[in-house]
Parts: sequence; C-alpha cells; structure tokens
Amino acid sequence: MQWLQPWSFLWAALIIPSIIFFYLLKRRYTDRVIASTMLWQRVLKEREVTRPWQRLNRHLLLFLQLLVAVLLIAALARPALPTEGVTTPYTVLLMDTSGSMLAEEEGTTRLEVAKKKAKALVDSMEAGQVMTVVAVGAPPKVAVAGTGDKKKLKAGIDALDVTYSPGDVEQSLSFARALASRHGKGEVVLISDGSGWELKQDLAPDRMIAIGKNKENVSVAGFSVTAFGRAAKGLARLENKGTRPAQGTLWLYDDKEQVLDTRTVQIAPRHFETVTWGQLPPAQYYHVKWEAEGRTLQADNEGWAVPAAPARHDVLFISKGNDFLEKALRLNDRLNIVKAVGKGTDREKPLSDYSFAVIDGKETALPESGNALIIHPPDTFAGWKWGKDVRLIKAVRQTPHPILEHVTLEDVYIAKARAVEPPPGWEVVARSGEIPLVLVRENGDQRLVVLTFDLHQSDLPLKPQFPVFIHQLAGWLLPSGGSGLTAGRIGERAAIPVSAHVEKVTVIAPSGAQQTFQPEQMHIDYIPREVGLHKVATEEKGKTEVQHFVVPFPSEETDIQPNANLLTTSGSGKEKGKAEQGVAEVAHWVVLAALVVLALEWVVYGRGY
Amino acid sequence: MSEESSLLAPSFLRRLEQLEVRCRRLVRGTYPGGRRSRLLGQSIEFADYREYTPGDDIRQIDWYVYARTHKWFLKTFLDERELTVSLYIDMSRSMAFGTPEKGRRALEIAAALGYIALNRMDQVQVFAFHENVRQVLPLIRGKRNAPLLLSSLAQLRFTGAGHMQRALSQPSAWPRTPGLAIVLTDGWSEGGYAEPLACLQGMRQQVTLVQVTTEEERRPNYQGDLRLIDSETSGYTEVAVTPQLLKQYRQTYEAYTKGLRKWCFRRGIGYIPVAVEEPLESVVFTLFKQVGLVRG
Repeated sequence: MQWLQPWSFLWAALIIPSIIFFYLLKRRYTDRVIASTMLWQRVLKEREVTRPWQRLNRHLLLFLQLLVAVLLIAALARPALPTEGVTTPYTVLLMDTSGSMLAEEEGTTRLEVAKKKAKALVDSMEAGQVMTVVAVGAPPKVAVAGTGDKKKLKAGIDALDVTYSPGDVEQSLSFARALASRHGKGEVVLISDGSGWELKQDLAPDRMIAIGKNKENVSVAGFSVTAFGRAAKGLARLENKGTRPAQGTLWLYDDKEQVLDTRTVQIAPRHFETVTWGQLPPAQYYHVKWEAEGRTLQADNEGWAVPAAPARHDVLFISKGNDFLEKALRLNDRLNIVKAVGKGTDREKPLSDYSFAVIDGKETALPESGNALIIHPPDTFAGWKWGKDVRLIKAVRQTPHPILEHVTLEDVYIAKARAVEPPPGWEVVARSGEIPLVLVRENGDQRLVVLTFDLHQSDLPLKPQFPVFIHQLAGWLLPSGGSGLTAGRIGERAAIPVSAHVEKVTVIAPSGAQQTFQPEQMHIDYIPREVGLHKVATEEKGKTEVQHFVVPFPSEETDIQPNANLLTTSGSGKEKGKAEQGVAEVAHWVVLAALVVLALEWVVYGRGY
Repeated sequence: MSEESSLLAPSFLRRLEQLEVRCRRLVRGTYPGGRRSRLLGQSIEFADYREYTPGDDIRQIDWYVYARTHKWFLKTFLDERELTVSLYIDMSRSMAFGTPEKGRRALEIAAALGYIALNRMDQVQVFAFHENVRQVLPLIRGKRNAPLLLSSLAQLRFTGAGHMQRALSQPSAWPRTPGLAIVLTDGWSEGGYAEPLACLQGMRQQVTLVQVTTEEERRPNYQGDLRLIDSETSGYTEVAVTPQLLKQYRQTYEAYTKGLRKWCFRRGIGYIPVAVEEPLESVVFTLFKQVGLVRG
C-alpha cells in the first residue's frame, strides 16, 4: 500500500481531536437517581473483566465516527496498491530510443525488450483507457497519439527505431507530463534502461519500467585520421565503460575494406587505450572495428574517419625562381610553401607527404604519388613524345574545368609552348591549335596538371586572373578539397558546404537511405539519423563527385550500465519492484468503506447504543 | 389513630388477629405467654415424670404412681412463655423508592407482624437501622400496645446511607432474650448481609430476612446514556444502556438473590423476597403462610 499524498494525514491532527471534542460536548448523560448502584457497578465491573473490549462499547458511536474520519482522511491521502497494468484513464508511454537501447540482452536488443513490455502494458488496457506513445528524443516524437486502439498502439510501438541520439529526456518528460496533466488523471510511464540519466524530482515519471542488466561495453570512443600530404596518421581511442577488464582485436580497414592493420588491445575497467598509426596509405576514408568476446553494444564497436586536412598544407616548390608563381601561391593562406634547393633532392619527406608539389621545369619523372603542378617540363619528361617549343599562332581554346573557372586564356599571350602528344588518361583543357597548353589527369587519388609553356614566355602572370587561376589550381590539387565536412553528430544539423555550381546533392546514409537536395546556398542542411559513414554525392555539370562524412556513435550512449534507480513519483527506483509496477488508486473503495461505517453508525445510533 | 389507620386498615387488623407468628424453636421467655416453652411449668400440657428430690413442691407428686410403686415421682408439665419478636427495619434512603415505596411496604409488614405478635401475647420490639441502629420501640406486649407500635412505625422516615453490617453489629441492636428476629430490608448494603444476620443468630434469634424489592430493581427498563446516581452515597455510574447490558443486569440480579437465598438456607435463616408491587394482604396471608412465618 502506498500513499500518493501522505501529507493529507495532517488533517487527522485537526479532525480527530475535533470529533473527540464535539463528542464530549455532545455526549450528555441523563441523571437518574436509583436506590442503589451496587448491582450496576458489579455488572459493569464483571463486564470489563470478562470482556475488556466491552469498555469500548460505551463509546461505540465515538469510535465509529473516528473510523469514518480516519477512512475519509485515508482516502484524501490517495491510497494506492501496486499493479502491473495500466491504472489511469490516460497514460503517456515514454519509450527510450537512445543508442544504449541497442545493447544486447539475452539475444535481443533492449529496444525489443522494451517493445515487448510496452505491448504487454497495452494488452493490460481496459475499455475506455487511452494511451499516447512518445519516443524520447529532442524534440520528443509522438509515435501514437492518444488512442485506445490496441492494434494501432502496438503497430506504433513496433515501428519505433533507435534514434541513437541521447535525446532530451527532461524535455520529453516535461512534454509527457504536460500531456498527462491535460487529461486530468494521467500517468507517465517510462520504459528505459536509464543509462546516463539523472532526473529531477519534479520531472520524475510516475512509473519506470527498467530494461537491461548488461554492464560491459567497449566502444570506439574516437577515431580520426589526419592527412599530411599523401600520407595520413590515424588515432583510435578505445574506452572500456564496463566493470571488468576487456581484451579484443582492433581491425583497421581502408575504403576498399582491405585490412590495413590489426592490434590486440587490453583495457582495464573504466579506462581507455589509444591506438595510433603513423603511415597510413591514402584512402578516402578509414574504418576501424573492435572485435571481442561477448556481444553487448555492437553499434559503437565501429568507427570511420575521413582524413582531415591539416590547417595549412605543405606545398613543395621546386623552381629556379618564379616570383610571380611563388607570390600567387603565397596569397593562399592555407598553403605553406616549402622551397626545395637545387634539384629538390634535399627534401626530407617523400613527395607524397606534401599536399602537392609545384615543379617548375626541373623534374623529368612523373611523380608516382602525390599531386603536382608541372610547368614546362623538359623534353625528357615522363617519356612522352615531346616536340620542340613552337610559337603559337592559333587562338587558345579551353574546355570547362574547375581549374579554369573564371579564367579565360583566350586573350592571354603565350609566346611558345612545347608540343607534345598527350598519353592516354590525360585531358587537354586548353590548347592552341593542336598544341596542348594545359593537361590534367585524375588517376584515383592522384591529380596532376601540366602546363606546357613557360610562365616567363607568357603574360599570364601579369593578368589579373593569374592569382585566380593559381588559387583554383591549388584548390583542385589539395587532397581534401571536397566538402570540407568530415564528421557530423547524430540528430544535429550538419551544414555540408557545396560549391556554387553544384546542381544536386545526394546524401546516402549507411542504410542506403537517400536524401536529395537542390542547393540554393553554399551549403545544405542535413540532419543525420544514422550512425556511420555517409556518402555525399554532388553533381556538377554532369559530373558526380563523391565525398564522405562520418556520424560517430554518440559517446553518451556508450555507457550502457542500466540505471534502474531513476526517481519516480512513487518513490526511488531502488525499490525496483515498486517502481516497475504502477499504482492503482483505491481511494474510492476507502470512501465506500467510510459510507458503510457511516451507515453502521446510524444503525448503532438508532438502536440506542 | 389516624397514623395507625394510614399504615394498616382496621379491617385488615381484624383479619390479622386470626394469625400467629410461628417460631420453630421453643421459646424461653420471662413472662408466661401463649407459647410452649423449653422450661417446665404450670401449663396443662404433660411433659414427663422425674424422681422427687428434696425441695420439690410436694403438690406435684403423682400419688397414683406412688400407690403403685411406693416411689415419689413428680409429674412435670410444659411451661408456656411469651415470644420476643424483634423487628429490624432498614431506614436507609434506598427504601424510599418504588411504587409504593419499599419503606412503606416494609413498615406495613412490620406493623402486621407486630400486631399479630402483640395479639398473641408475644413481646415486640422495633429497631430502625441505617448506618447505626436505634431502638424505636422497647419491648411491649399485649394488644393494648398495638397503637403504640403502629404510631411508632408510622413516624419513621427513610433518610441517609444504610450499612446493615455496621448497624447490626452494634450490641445495642442485639435482643437480650432469645426470640424471633425479622429483618426488613431491600438488601442493597455495601457491607453485605452475612455478618449482621449471623450476629443475630448468635444472639439466639431465629432470623428471617424479608427482602423488599421493586420492579425497577428486578427488571430495569432503561434507555440511552444514563448517569445512575446512588440515592444513599450520591456516587454515580455512567452507563450506555444496551439490551445486552440490561440482560446482563438481570442475570446479575438473579445470581445475587440466588446467592442470598442459598446462604440463608445454609445458615437456617428464613429468606422471603417480597415484591413491593404485591398487595400487602397477599404478602401476609399467602406468602408468609407459605413460608411458615405465620399461621392461622
């Protein structure tokens, strides 16, 4: 038995003494002089000796009145009995759909267990009872609006899916409480594992059905890859939020799902370990996966990382001296010009470690990896069929290409250019007659641009469009010159930057769900609903470019330790049995009992007691 | 004579003259009377023979026996003496209850018994008691003293608290000669009845207890919350009267009277319960005859 308003018993302090006072005032004995009271005293004495309770008989009316008062006060205190089923005419069922509900319990997920319990609750509804199902989230989402249709409610519960997001439980509870209070006697029932939640008393649900027992979980708490030129460094952070030491294997994959590395890691309870990789081969993204015995929460055992560009890119600058070019490059704050002396052999790092290289007439070999701008290479370059420098007599024609955006080479004077027959795979984006002027090649990760003319033999550096041309060249050659967004957060708006001429952007979630945008600004607003690697396909002038960004599993949800001790209005959840049960108010029965006693009192009064 | 007549009607007195107070034991009075005595005397009723011893009255020698046996034998006759009837009347306030009053009925009974005794040449004395005892009327004898008896009784008033045990334990209450002691009371005495009655028995009295009760005492019919005030002590008892309580009271009353009757029987004391509602004539001529207190 519980009392929902125990303070009502304070009324007893006022009412019961009042009844006794008025009873004493009211109770008047009629004086009657008789010959002797000897026998009467003997009768009363004998009565009290043989049946002590008969002493009470003298004040039977008083006791009955007190009993009525006590019963009515008890009714005011709202007595309630624990019950498993739905107890009020209106119930708001709050379903926790946060990430921790994906934790496995006895072969299924906590969410499935929660659904089962929710449906059992629906089954216990009686005619006339109404339920609203609300998924905890930010904002809370009404899954099924108030109805007594069990079929509809069960369908709504079945359709619930994990939102990964920790959700705003306080907002959800506040919303549920508002819904419940609108219907008078409403009950708020929360089905949750309670992981990571602390509730204020005023927001506590009326009942909490706690889910989950499993505490052990190791999560990939963080995974990032930073690109340094063509190379990349990776760092993964593994966190053991359980109570026992954990051991497992961390697998590292590239974007082709080829295993790059495996590590065996041991993690003490409530500790974390970091795993680093120094030289990762270039990839559009990387994927780590933690595998260990015992299945708990699978969703946080994987992590993806899109190589993030460093704040400044090192650019290897190999030239005898080209002030115009150097100054134009230095105009870009993102570039850090590293000049090579002589033939460029003193470079400490391989070419792939630079974001790209500018080779001004020096190198004879085609770089094996890494991006490069090659200007007027020697006639032995790359084994191509080079001709001699020829004077250009025909007008320059250019084909659209990102590096030639807002650049017109047609009015540029170029004295001489080296004739060459471009090998397959190379695209000529500017030519004068048959003589290529600008060749570009995009081969997987490698981007190369070759200018067949010497900048000194042209007035291009003197044109205002030269810095624009160099800027666009640099932008195209920088390895991370894509969307610029590498990671988002579940449930939160992510602004994916797009260039002005992008016609269509399609975001493909890990599940394959696609969302298409027609960008009207320089970015699109996308709210990720799934955890994992998202593809962003941008279409521009018929060309599709695919980039990636990662939505990691929210770290708040990696602690799956269930917390059944959330406060409820009927007391602390520590009394688990009670917290899981609802309370059925029995005040009306108590009032009925009071009426019966009142009737009995009337009978007793009528019979002259 | 007005008080006498107010107590007992003359016609009733004439009817009483046919009656006689019975006493089971032989009396041993001082004056000759109408009752057979333990002593040998000069009545005409033969008692026994005994041998002559010097000093005997030679007029009592039976000469016919001497003629046959040549021995002197005296012929003895039973003596007839008067009976001393001591009337003890409870004068406590509780006797002033009932319709008619218990006290009035007790006085009527005492007057009737006294008149009967006086009419038969017995001695009568009257004691009134409540907490103490006082002799209202000293020993009188002869019918001529009947008005004195009746007037003395008529003057009695029922006041104060009664305590039979204390009152009858006083030597002044004890009759000096053996006889018949009749105690008229309602029996509601805190101290009990055993000791005073035994005391009277010790004074060679044939004791008879006449308990006068009212219907209200035997079968009360109260209702509601009552503060029952004792008429003698002014103490009170608060009761919420219920049918169960009334039933229990009746049971207690029965047990009390039964105990009284049993005790009296064991002690050889006559016990006569008298309902105040019963006519006096019926009490004297029927009830007392039945129990053997009077005959006629």
